[in-house]
Amino acid sequence: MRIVIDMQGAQNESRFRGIGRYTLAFAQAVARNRGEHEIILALSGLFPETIEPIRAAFHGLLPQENIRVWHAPGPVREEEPGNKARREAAELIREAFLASLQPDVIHICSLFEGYVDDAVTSIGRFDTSTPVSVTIYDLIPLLNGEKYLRPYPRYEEAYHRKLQYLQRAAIGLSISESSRKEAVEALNVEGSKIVNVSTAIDPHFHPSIIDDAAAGRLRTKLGIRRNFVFYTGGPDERKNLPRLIRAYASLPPSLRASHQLVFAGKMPEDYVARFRHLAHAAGLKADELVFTGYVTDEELVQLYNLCRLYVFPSWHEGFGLPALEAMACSAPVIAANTSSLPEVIGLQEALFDPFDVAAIAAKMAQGLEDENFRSTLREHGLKQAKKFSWDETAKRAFAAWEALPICDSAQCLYVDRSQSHNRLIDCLANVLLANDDKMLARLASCLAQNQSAGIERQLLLDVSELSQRDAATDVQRVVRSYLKYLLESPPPGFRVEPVYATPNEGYHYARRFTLRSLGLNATEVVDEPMQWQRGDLFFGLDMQHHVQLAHAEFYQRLRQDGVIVKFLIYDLLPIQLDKLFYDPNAKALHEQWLTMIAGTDGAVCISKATADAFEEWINRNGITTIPRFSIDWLHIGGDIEGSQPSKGLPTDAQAVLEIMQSRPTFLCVSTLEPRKRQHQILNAVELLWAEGLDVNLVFVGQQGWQMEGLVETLCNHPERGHRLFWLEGISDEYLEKVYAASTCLIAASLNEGFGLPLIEAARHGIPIIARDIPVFREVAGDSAFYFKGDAAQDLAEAIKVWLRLFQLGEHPKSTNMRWSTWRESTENLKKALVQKNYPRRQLLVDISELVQRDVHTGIQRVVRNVLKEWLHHPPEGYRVELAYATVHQPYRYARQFTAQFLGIPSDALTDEPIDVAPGDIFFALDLKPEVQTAHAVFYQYLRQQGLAVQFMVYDLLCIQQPEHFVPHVAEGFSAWLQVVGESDGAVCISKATADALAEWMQGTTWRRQRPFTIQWNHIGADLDKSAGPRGIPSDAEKILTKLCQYATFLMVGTLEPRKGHAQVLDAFEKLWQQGTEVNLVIVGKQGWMVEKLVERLRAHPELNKRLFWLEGISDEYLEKVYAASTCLIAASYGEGFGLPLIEAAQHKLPIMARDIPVFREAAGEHAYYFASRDPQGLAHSIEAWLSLYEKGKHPRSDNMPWVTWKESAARLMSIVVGAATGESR
Amino acid sequence: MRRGRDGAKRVAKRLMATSLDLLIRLGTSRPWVKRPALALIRRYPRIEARLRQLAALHGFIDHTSTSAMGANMLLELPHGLENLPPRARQIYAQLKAAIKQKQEEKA
Repeated sequence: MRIVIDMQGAQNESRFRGIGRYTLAFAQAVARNRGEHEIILALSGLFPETIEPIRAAFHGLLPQENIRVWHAPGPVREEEPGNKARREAAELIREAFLASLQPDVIHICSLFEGYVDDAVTSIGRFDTSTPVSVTIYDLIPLLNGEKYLRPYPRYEEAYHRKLQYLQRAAIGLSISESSRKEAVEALNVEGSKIVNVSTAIDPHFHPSIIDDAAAGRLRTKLGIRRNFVFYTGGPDERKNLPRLIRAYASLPPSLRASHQLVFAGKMPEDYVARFRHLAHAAGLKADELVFTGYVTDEELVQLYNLCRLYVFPSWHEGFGLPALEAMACSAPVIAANTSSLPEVIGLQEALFDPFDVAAIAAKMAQGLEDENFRSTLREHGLKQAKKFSWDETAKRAFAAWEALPICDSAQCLYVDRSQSHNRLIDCLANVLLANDDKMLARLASCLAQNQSAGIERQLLLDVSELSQRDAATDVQRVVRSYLKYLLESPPPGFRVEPVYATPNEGYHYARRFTLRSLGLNATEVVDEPMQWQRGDLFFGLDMQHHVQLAHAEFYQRLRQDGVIVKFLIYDLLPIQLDKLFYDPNAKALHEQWLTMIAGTDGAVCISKATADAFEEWINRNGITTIPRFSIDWLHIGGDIEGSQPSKGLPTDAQAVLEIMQSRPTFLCVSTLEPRKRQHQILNAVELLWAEGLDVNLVFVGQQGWQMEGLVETLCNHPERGHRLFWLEGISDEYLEKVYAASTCLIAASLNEGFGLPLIEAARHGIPIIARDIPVFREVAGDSAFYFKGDAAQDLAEAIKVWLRLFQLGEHPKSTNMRWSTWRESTENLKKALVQKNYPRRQLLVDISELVQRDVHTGIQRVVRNVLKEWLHHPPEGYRVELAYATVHQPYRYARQFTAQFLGIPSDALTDEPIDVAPGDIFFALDLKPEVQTAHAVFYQYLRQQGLAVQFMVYDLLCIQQPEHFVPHVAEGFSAWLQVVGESDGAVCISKATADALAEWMQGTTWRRQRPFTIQWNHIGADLDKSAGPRGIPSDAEKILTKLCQYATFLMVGTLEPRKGHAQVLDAFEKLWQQGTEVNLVIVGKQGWMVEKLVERLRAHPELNKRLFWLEGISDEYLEKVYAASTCLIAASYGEGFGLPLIEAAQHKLPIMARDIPVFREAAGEHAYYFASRDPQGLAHSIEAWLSLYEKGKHPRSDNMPWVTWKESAARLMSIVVGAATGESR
Repeated sequence: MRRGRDGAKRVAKRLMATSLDLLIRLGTSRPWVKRPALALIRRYPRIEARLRQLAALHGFIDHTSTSAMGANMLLELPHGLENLPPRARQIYAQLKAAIKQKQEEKA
């Protein structure tokens, strides 16, 4: 079963009360105990800040995709008359959304909501077929109308409307036996319509030892100065608090002096004022009655544990949860003896008459002073609490749901669901005020989001040919059969929608055709234009070349919008046997058609032979397909659909059959066509007759094309009517008899898409002689006798051999042949459609910077290389979609950019705004802090909708070493990191960065409640031979010669403060001063904040002698510089990754690197490290390295491990997808 | 921003793109801006044409619309519609049509 739980009770004001806790705990217990059932939680988008906490509460318990958020324009609270139209719209929208989840049951945790807040509940306003179950807490307002309803006419009207909805519920789940009885009576329903599932408390309510310090803090915070009598719960009249206050007032002074009366929980101000007033009038001092306001669950547990007595004076409860909570914490509990409390407390002596102030006071006094009584209460309370468990409640709920009847017919499915969206639009048009365009836009946006967030997608079946004319061809038999079984049993989560088009008109829903084929009335129905959304499947079931070719561009538009497009391929015969087709254009047309299909998402073929032929055709002709183009195959059904077999026997039937039975009869059942090779069969049998073999030959089948010659021969044949028969257009009845009278079927087709005649023969139990072609082998296996060769002689010999075997009974029997039924075949079709290459989810990749400009920075190199890999090898089940935004504009698909990147034409593409669905992943690959900070709220919206949002983090350098960056950069970056921290995870380019990020995140309290994953993945280091300057300048020779003279130390990288050029230059100056003959080559352009350094370099006395600065040189030149160098110096104070080291290693250059974690991570033992930050220290290190070098004992970089982009990007993808899906089963 | 001969044109283009954007958004969200804005736009036929192009690109205007439908139509649309995905726009059109039909039935 699929059970949808409406969770609004945990989202609105009720979330602060018992109902909220019940809703959450109930849903959690249901999720825990679900077994094979599927649970979906439906949350209202009108309470956005409650979504994260609920998702966090189910983390690890339910997959995030099972939590779905629906939207409607607000405000909708009923107390505001101006909200009426919106509220009605919201009720319709919510019901339509829940129905689209295709539930077996919808459970509403709290029905009587939405008067003072934006909760929306209704039953049967739109969806009248799904059974709805409702939690029944109590019907207190109904039973006490004068107090709760009459004074508030608007509220009364609303309440009665909710009661009407309740009457439409299939079943009620009450929280106590008392509330069950009450409801049965008040609603005047059958006792079996309401089931007591009881309730329970959270496990965190238990006795605990609270240390004095914590207790002290709590008391101080809440204003509790001594021991106290405790109450928590609502303030409404039935809670009976005035009597409690008066009872407390009448306690002996000593008790009052030593005990305050504490009311905990959020209480509206007017009640607080009233109670204070009452307390004052009763003679209480200011601090004797304490209101704590909202307390956390933790504080509540502490209060239960710290109090001396818990009193629950409510005279009417549905259950009375606080009483049980208090008992579970081992507090002594006394309560009223009315409604459900006796059931909950379970101990007569703990109860009092709630209307008798003196009785309450007496029980309170006893509860405070009588130690025996107190310990009885405590012991009993603990035992009693154990009798209630959420698991038990959940089990009872499942039992109630499982007992509900299920509505299942194909008619019911199609009729209900296919019209659902239009019906919703119609209903909405009725309730909305006209001409409010803004409202309509918001509404349209909500409806589109709800369709995305819903489970249901369309399986659009192209039945263009069949819906317009049924020519009863073989193809149409296939289409009709699949259509029938798919309508009966759609793939889970899909709505089957037959559609059709003509060469001149676009696709429409084939509603009239479908209703008629289901045997239903189609008079009032219109075939509307087709609509679609991401995740729908379009399947070309029928074959209509002209129509489908005319819509080739449309199929691409569908694919662009996220629809998966696949086609059914029957055969490649017009290409393989082109000479034998009546239409000279048949081959070209078929090839065009197949090329069009090859440009979509996949093909399903009706045999493996066809699939192989298709694949081979694609390869042979070099046809381009998408990276994951799928070719699947299955076998069509061999059972006859339940159509009425035609009847009628011609007058000579009897005679013919007798002749057939009088000698061995060879049968061929097929339209007379060149490729069926009836010619060869006739000639072969003529040879046999010439040799004196006495056999019959019977052809059954209409005349096809190009067969005039054979037909003439047959009609004039001497054996006609004696041993040769041609039966055209015979009834099914006659055909059955012909089969029964035959000895063997001959199937001599040169090629077929499938082999239905073989199956028919096997069904009739007659043996088969078949041409040895792959598709016949596939269908018949060992159950047929095979022959090869085109000549009459070949077949004649084969028949003779077969006859000999037949006489010995050793011929292959067809009775062992296996075939699929249509039902089985449809199941296979469903799998091929939905399980293979159905990338239902999106992997959205933010490339906001790269889209604007490619300045070949390090980060952009990463982005480009990752994209190259990801676009060609998308993850299983996902479609990679590039997206971008600007500070003021929302995210759009980067379609034009993607096309250009892949080198395909891009003029027809528009960058539409993105649409998202639960299960999609949003990965910020590019770094664009201003944009990404501006969209912080949007990322939270994505997370609320059920997407996983992750960021790539390259480094934290500008906040770790702010002195190396322009001042405001650090602020912007910090703001960006905040956005990252509120998402679901980050992937860093080195472990060092990951560690730095983890440390930085520790300092902050996050609003995010779900866990944050930090992972790391090294970027690829393949040499990037892409854009850049070319050529070698004229002075290169001279410079390279100089480099070779002495040991040459090389630095490669943009000149920036953090690269440490200054320290290196200082160190080398020292070395030169003391006479060391070494060269220093700096390769790199001027970056930022290095004006002083640049001045120094340009004016340096050693410039072009032993100091060289090569700016903006080509890769060619750089290669030569690497070759002429002795050692690379990497003096960065910080890096995101250690790419410069890897590049050196690729050039086999030894390395001297600053001893920082990220360099250790990249180079390990393959480098020489220095720690000093001053020039002298570095100079020493260089000398030390030189002396190692002279002895050949310096660390070599040759075997330093590094990953290619292919590996890195693939690993990044599995990290991103794994983190998004691996969190809960 | 790069200097030079192209620079000025480029700056002008950027400014125009920004002000078009701004104009559209201001116009649609503040009705009191619409009328004077309309008059202003009509004085610059090339800008008006560009707006129409933008409108068509974002799916407001049916491609078969005649040029009689100009900036008038565009500025009448509610703010934010241009940022709705295609499916939402399809639904918006459906709603409008359904409401219109109801109104006609009542009349």
